[in-house]
Amino acid sequence: MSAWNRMLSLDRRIVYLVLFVLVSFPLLSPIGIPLSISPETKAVYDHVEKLAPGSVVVVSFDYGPSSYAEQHPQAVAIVRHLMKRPGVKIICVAFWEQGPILAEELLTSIDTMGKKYGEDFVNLGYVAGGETAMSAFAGDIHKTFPVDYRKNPISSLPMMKDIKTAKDISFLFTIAAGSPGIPEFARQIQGPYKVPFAGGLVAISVPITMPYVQSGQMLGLMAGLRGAAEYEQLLGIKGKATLGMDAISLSHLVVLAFILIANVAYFATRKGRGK
Amino acid sequence: MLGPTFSVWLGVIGTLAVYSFLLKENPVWRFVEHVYIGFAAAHAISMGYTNVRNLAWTPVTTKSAYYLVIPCILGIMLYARFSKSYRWISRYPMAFLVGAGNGMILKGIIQAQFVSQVKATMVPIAFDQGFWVALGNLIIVLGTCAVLFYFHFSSQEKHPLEKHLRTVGRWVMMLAFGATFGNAVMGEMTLLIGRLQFLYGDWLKLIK
Repeated sequence: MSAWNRMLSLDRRIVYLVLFVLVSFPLLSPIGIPLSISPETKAVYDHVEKLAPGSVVVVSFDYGPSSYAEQHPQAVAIVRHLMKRPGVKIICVAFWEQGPILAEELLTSIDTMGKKYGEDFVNLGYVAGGETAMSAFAGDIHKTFPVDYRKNPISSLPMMKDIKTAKDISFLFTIAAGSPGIPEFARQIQGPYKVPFAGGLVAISVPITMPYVQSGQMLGLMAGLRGAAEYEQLLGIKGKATLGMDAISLSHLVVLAFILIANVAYFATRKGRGK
Repeated sequence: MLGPTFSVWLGVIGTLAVYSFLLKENPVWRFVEHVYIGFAAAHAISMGYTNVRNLAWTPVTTKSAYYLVIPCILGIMLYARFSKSYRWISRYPMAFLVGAGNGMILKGIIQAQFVSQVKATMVPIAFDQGFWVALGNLIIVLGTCAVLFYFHFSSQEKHPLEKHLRTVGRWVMMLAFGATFGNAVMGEMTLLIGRLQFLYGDWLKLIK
């Protein structure tokens, strides 16, 4: 068997091993590969920076443990930024059933910068129904979430007194892993109520979501772990996303190398097969 | 009392069991997979129960909102699909769900996913706003037209221009698929990195 044939029949476990070693190396000993900031991430950051005191921001946790590694750093970055903004009220909701746990984990683990639960931020929990639930939420928040995730009646939360419908929302940010996600929010809240809208996405969804940014329906987005790392850089912090970027870059080089090797081997052996 | 150390160890065992699949399918991996699905299902039931309690039971019993009994009955009717003799009953709530869902989507889809998207492709190709902007706009216009033409099946490519336009459309789609693949690789690698950060950081304390 020629060297090229051996390459083509390479045991997949060797590929896993090479990836494992090369991804582990920068995690244990960071290289610090420079990272540029995309205009889409910068647009989200700038919008949050411009939010006036009293602005109401809805952060929708529409993801689960399967995309935790990619999207939780996005959620941490945006909520940390919102907590820093004086007078900004934060409403956490979820249209994915695993969202409220992740929201609660985040809210109880980060520095709230003096903001108090019920007065400055709330976790309303999950409501079933996907797009229908979004529409109901936009029309009447109190009726859709009569009780928050911590079992407080919503009417007892001081900050919710004057927040009734989507008309009272200044900015909507969804961390969306799939459906319901971006198109549903665009159809039910951004379009009808003209609420400024942005999102954090799993990387694979970015190409199909970019038309919403180009059309101006979304003011920006965070693309996967890279988007979260860019946001961390804008905030001046080194979180899990930033620490993972060297590993991402190296892993891409590994995949690229294997694709090249496989193609060269394929064409080299095809010539032989033709004979 | 089970502390954070226990949850970390649980996570470590789960992670290593799932990765053992890379070597070979095995009973440990299958057990963890079933546990994960079981947890997810249990959590979904718990969330469903909370929703029924907050949005139906409590308003009916404390605020006399008796109209909420109707969706509850429709919901119960859905379970008739598990009986061969009474399966037909589940078709009524299903028809209602499909009708209401479509109505809800149609309300916003024209503006959000048709008019706005079409408007976004109607961009000026004027070089007075800068060469790169104009070039980008030109690519958007040509690319959109070429891809739309690729899916125009009622002609037989008699004119060479049709063939070339279809080829351009196919290339534009290939570029989009390539971008999607690149992002998919990034997404999958992130999952691996997330687990390794957990193993090296939370478990082995090798990451500060």
